[in-house]
Amino acid sequence: MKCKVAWLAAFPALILSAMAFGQGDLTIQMSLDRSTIGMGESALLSLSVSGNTQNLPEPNLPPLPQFEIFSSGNSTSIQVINGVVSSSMTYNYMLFPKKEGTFPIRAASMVVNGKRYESNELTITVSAGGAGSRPAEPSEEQSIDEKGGERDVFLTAEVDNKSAYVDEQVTLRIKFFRAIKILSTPEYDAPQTPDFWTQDIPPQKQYYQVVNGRSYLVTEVRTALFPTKPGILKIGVARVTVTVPDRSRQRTRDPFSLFDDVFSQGRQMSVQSQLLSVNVRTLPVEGKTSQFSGGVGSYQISAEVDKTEVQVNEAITLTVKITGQGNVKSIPEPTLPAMDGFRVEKASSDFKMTNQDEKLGGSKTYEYLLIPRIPGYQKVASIVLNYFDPDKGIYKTTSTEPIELMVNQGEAAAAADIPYNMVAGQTINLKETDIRFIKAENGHLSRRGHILLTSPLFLIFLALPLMAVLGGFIDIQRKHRLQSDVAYARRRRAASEAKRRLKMAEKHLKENNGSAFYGELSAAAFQFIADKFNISAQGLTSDGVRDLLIQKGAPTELLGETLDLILQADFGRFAGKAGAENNMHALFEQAHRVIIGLGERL
Amino acid sequence: MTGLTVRVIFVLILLMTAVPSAAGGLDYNFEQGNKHYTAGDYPKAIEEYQKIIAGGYQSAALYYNLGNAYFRQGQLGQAIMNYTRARRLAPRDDDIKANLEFVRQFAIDKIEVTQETILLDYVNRFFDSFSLTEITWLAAFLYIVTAVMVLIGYVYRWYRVPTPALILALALFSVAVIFTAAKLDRDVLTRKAVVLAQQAEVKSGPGEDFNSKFTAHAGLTFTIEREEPGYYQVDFENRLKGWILKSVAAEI
Repeated sequence: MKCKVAWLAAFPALILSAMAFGQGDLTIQMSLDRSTIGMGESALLSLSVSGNTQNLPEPNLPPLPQFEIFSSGNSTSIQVINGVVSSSMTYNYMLFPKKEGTFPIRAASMVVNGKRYESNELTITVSAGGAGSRPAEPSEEQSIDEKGGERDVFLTAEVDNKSAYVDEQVTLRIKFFRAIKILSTPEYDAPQTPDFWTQDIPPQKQYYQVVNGRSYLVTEVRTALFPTKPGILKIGVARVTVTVPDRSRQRTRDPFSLFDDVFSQGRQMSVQSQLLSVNVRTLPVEGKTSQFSGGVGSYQISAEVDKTEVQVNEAITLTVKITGQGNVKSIPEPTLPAMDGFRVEKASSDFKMTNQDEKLGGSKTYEYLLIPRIPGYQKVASIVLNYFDPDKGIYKTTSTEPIELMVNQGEAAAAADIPYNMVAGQTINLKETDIRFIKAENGHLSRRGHILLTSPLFLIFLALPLMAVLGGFIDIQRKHRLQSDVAYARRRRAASEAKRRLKMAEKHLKENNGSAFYGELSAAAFQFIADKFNISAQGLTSDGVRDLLIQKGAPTELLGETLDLILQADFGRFAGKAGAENNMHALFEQAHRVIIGLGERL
Repeated sequence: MTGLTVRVIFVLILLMTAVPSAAGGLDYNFEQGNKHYTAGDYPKAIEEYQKIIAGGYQSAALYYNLGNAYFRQGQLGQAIMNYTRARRLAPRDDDIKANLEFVRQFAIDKIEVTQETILLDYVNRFFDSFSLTEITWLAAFLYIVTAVMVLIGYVYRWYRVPTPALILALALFSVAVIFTAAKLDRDVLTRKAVVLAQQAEVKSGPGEDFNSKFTAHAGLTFTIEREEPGYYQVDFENRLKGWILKSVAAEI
């Protein structure tokens, strides 16, 4: 006896023994739920892999070019057969036949750990109709009769009009029949309709229908299709995927079947509708006028204005509305009649879709602004709409009532050379009736895109006051220091003082006043050194200078020259007479060198 | 400040305000444009004026005359755009103001601007009365005044500058800096554009397939929020938003 236990019902010991299950070989069993199916039906192909089912790769299906294949999930189960525990993995695939015939299904394979495992082979027969022999294209009623009663779920598609004009509405109804409980929300794939403009017609309808003595719950989805071109246009298949209770399991009357009802995940299956085609005709040439520019259905056109008595340049709103049945979206904008007395501006357009008794329709509204140019009695002529009535197969014309308007001379003066008219509702400055004349002077030309703030020159300009403030601050700091720091002040003054004395000496030299010349030179040297090191010039002797310069680290050569200068100057001064003019010049140059040297080196 | 600094500042101001020599030949185009305009040959006038713009130069008078020529040609969008450009350069020019107001009457679309507070109205009027360059110079002037006060009153102490006067100068300078930044945002960073085409659809998204919100007409002014290939996302004065083809509008 075969006894199957669902995971949740298993005892812990059972789980343990399942985990201890060995590494034995794999066996792959391939099976079909039915070996004979009809076109438009589907077969469930199951690959059941038993053995160690951990980390299994996807199995390789045999090539099946005659079918469309959809994976519909996999499931794991643990079985106890005669006390031996085994686990199995089942992969499910839906096969939808593309053509009729008997086709072999070759072995499916799986490669695990380098070893190849193969399944058994099968044969599947696809018949023209359903499981029995059926006509190639069954009419809707027939297919329900034959299928109905036998099948738990099925899908049908029908159109209300197999022969339509371009842009005429064709209503597609897709009905999903079910006689059993469904375990999941049905997944619906709408049919492919590339040659149609489609619009859903809500709501979905649900009702009961008895087919061959069996009661079905029917869900009906309606779609309005508008053919976009002539010819035989195809409507693809619709498909519904649902999970249904697994009937084969219920038939085995074992004591555990109770769990099946509670825990079974059921069987996933798909049903699809048949292909449909619609013969679409072009619109007849006969009766087609040049004004016709599209619009199939039955329509009314109306026009109205918001006021009938206005002043010149006061705007009137003209509303043109097209209502009726058909593909309102494809109706072109109506051509307005010539209105010489008005300036016409399109203001807005709007469209609404409605459905009434499954026929789509709606309204399209255009708003125009009419601005009268000239006073007097004016007329808006009929606006004509040509459309094609597919029910009667003829072209029809609908038009609006003419509208009469009274335009009074307004206050606004007639403007001169202006290609516009003033629009109503505006307060117009009566002093201005035209634009003012051009300017004669070009004025100040500037670079386009020039922004002053980012101009480098401007930024430099901005930096100047800041620099002035900072400079002033530094300047005042320096002056402050000169006043408070005597040593600093004397040091700063030393060079200019020495320069002044040298200038005096040069003057004495020219006057040949030897004593005064030597005196100035001596004073310049002593005063410079005293200022430089902030000591008193009085009492500074030649020896004092030598010690000071050695202490300050003066170079020997400079030291020698300085002492020599002081010695010669003193000698010249006390000798009381002018020396050779050459010597005096040389000494002057030496004094210059010494003062510059002392200034730079110390 | 020494005499040298004064001389440098003088030269800098001269350099910043001087008419570039390259613009010399463009005066001829301006005169030619005026001649064509007076003779009633507006397309020729437009052509001459546009040469100056193509040369990289602009002036308030140029944009004003160009606006006049476009208006005579029936190109309302171009007219409004050029008057608006002119007003940016010369905000208090009466002719520009009058013509812009006059031609706006011919624009189909009237946008109802939400009521603003009196304070905001004054602020707007202030910003509309001065150009960016003027406000920038005002800020620069207040900056120099502050710097001079600091220099003579606090660094050199030649004159006694009362502290409240310095604080006032600093405050005015700060306000001027804020005004400059705000004006920069209004005129340069906020991108405005005008509808040039006679009619243009304002869409709910950047593509032909989106719904039309309404039909805009020549002369309607809006702010560019962002760009997508071929489309501007735009913001109208009444806060309505939408998308418009780039090709039907021009940036001011």
